[in-house]
Amino acid sequence: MMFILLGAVLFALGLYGAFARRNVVLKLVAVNIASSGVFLVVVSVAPPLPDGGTDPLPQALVLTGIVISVAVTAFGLALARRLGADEGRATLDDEEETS
Amino acid sequence: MSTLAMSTLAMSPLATTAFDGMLAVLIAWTAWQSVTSREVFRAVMLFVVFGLLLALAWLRLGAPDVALAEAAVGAGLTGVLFLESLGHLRRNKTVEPPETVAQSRLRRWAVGLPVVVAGGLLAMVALRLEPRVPGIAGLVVRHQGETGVSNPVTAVLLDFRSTDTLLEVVVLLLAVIATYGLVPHGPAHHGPRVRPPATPRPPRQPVLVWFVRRLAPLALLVGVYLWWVGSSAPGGAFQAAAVVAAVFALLRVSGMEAAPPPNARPMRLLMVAGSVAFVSQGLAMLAAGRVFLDLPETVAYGLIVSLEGVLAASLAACLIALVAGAPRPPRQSGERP
Amino acid sequence: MSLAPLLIPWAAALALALPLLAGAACFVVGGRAAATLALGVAVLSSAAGIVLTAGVEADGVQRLALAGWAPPLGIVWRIDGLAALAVALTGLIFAAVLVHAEKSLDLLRGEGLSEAFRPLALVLLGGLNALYMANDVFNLYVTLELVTLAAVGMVALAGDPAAALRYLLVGVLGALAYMLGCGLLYAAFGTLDLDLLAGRVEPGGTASAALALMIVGVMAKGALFPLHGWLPPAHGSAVAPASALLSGVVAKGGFYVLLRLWLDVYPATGAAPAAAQILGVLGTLAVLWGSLQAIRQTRLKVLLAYSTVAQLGYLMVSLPLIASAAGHASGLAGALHLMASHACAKAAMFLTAGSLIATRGHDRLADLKGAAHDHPMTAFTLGLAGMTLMGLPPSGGFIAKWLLLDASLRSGQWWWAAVILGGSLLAGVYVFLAVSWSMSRPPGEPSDAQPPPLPRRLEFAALALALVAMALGFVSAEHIP
Repeated sequence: MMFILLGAVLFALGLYGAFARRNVVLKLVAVNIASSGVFLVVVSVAPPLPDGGTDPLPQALVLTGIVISVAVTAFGLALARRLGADEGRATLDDEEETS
Repeated sequence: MSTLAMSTLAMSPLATTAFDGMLAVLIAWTAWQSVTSREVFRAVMLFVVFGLLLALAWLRLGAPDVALAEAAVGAGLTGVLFLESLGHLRRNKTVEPPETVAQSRLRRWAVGLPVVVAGGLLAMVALRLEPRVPGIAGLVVRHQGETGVSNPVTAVLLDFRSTDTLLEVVVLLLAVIATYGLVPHGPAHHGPRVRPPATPRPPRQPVLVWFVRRLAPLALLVGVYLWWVGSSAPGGAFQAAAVVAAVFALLRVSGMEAAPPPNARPMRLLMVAGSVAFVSQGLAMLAAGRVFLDLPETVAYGLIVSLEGVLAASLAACLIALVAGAPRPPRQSGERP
Repeated sequence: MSLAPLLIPWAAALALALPLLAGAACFVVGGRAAATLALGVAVLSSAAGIVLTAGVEADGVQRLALAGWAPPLGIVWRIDGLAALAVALTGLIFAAVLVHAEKSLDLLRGEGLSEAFRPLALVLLGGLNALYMANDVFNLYVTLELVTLAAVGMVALAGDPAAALRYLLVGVLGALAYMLGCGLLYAAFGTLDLDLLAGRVEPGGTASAALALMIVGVMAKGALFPLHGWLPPAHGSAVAPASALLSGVVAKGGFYVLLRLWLDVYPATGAAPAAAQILGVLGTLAVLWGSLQAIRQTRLKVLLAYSTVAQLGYLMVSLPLIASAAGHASGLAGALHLMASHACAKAAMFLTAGSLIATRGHDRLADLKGAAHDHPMTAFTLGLAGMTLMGLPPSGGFIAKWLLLDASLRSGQWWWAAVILGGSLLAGVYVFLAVSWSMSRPPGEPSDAQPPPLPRRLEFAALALALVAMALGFVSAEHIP
């Protein structure tokens, strides 16, 4: 139960960072924190097994999720580098988001 | 189950609850600090600490496989990726740009409020969830013998739900393909020339070099161990690859260029080897009159262990390529190598 | 004696395996051999789709237990008419785009760009085929991630890195919401398989919350209003063949998953009618907003990108029709016709934009005067594909809108008919704008100067897709279950 709450808190914190931060690296850090929150919820919301163990299926899902999240983060950072090299900036600004 | 997890399980209920509570508060606080930090370097450092603490939480949740992955990946590799990209950003780009008080207040409320509502709703739904139908853990136990591996998580990943894992291996390869696609191609390129500023290599630090040189073979050994043990205990190809890639990253940080040029064809062959082996094995089963990706009981263990071996090497190559980033564009003739 | 038991497993497995293997090969080697391989695999993938379609016609819906494990332990691919047709059509569109890209990308940026395009396109094709056949909510998540990452890579290939990053971030956040939904569904109902879920899901807070999270997630990935903001800059700035794949095919991926959830799981939650009306209203806004923005644009590719936002809106408008008993059949057939014909038409239009960019170096509408005179076939293609967007007979778009109108009148929801008709008028305006510029004469005396050369294969690739979009108008609705 504790970890479900923690997962929800991390999800909210990560979402906040992903929207409120403008630096791309900070946005990606926040997205990773949100992912961790989701992973915690996915594993801890599944009912415990009769012998007190943890269901292996959500664990497998989370391991898959972790790998995907590394791949996406790595490509996002490569894009951030490209953004810096092309345009000399490291932020995604709000003005463009609305236009 | 790992000995560490066993030892924590042996604590009294009150002590475990108190420990869990403290751990949760600490993790949330680190995340909060990381998300609100205006300095990118500080945020990244806090994120690494966050990952390590989270690995402890996974142990407490009885998920040692995830804990290993979190420590090797969340704290290790992702942190390294973030640090590596920081080196490429100019100094003034590593802090959040300043904004007026009104702007920041608006942002705090406009983003903060919906996010708090979303988190609250999620917690409410998750806490009030009533399981109607039990999951598949019982089925996993019943059929695990037919997979030849005794770690249930590995059985799910490499046999029962191997399609997911196949696609996940392709996702990692795809990240490399997409990253390499960012390099401008050929002399006829007209767009802005992307030449990442020569990474300011930290000066060689004798102590660090001495340390890393001795650590590298040891870590390689850990990688091999993690691959081998994955069938019966927490571990597996991905965790092994992450450890190897993290050592490579350390070598870079210590100023040693240990990598073969990532653009070289042998490296690319190694990178695609995992996906190709996985798909080919699936097709081979189809040709043998079975189902795509099937693992016949008699040979399942051998196939899983050997496939994991190829995957570990291939995934490590992909992760190393991702840490090193896109290859430099072809050099102009006037430049010295 | 039917061939299905033998052929279907092979066709399905090869639809995934061939593009992945070829993508890996094209990452290692380049050149002419790689180009031939890529094109051949796209054609074979389409052929696999045709085999699957024939198999489904003969023997009904096929379920393949992958790795030999049946749900809930394992994963199945479910191949129904929708999935089979999607595989066939996607391979066809990829083949046409690859033919175009091999030439146009190199005209645009010199050698290497088509080398980088190939492996991304092939992995994307494999991912899409896996997405169409997936019948497990988490397997859908993995395929969606594969498709998104390949799509973002395509945007970044020579486009705007900021647009690519925004696409990536929206995609990740959408994936997180979706994965949360998967976790909740498994915890409550003990399975991730769509068929099993359809039987097990009970109305209640958990099911509603899980489905809401998943729908928001796929709406973000599929650029469904109001989460569409990332699409126009991404599709407008990518190289034209990439935009053709993204707007034509990838953009429907989100709706495709939404439709799967909608048909299988959503009815069991009991929340479908209310949710359908909300999604229909959002779709209406997408049609209005996307069309009006498209009319305002001064560049062809951006105009086409906004038009995609509007066309995705129609798909959302079809949901309240599908949710009604009287309009279910024709609403569903209309949505499928719209997906198929828009996929071909929009890909064709982006390819014509790519052809024009390849010769003229830009796609500014005001400076395209005389293009129809120089390249009549390209201008004809633009107009032909535009007919599908407007829904004029005898195009595939006409049948689609006819079916949707039929559904809205049958179910007594005349207001959706008004949206569909109004949207078609707006589409008429922006298609006219796109075509009319190229029709108008350049100022001054007609010069004797040779028009800039345009390789034939560029024109033919686009025309072929526009003709398919037209031909879909002659496919009767009964063939699409």
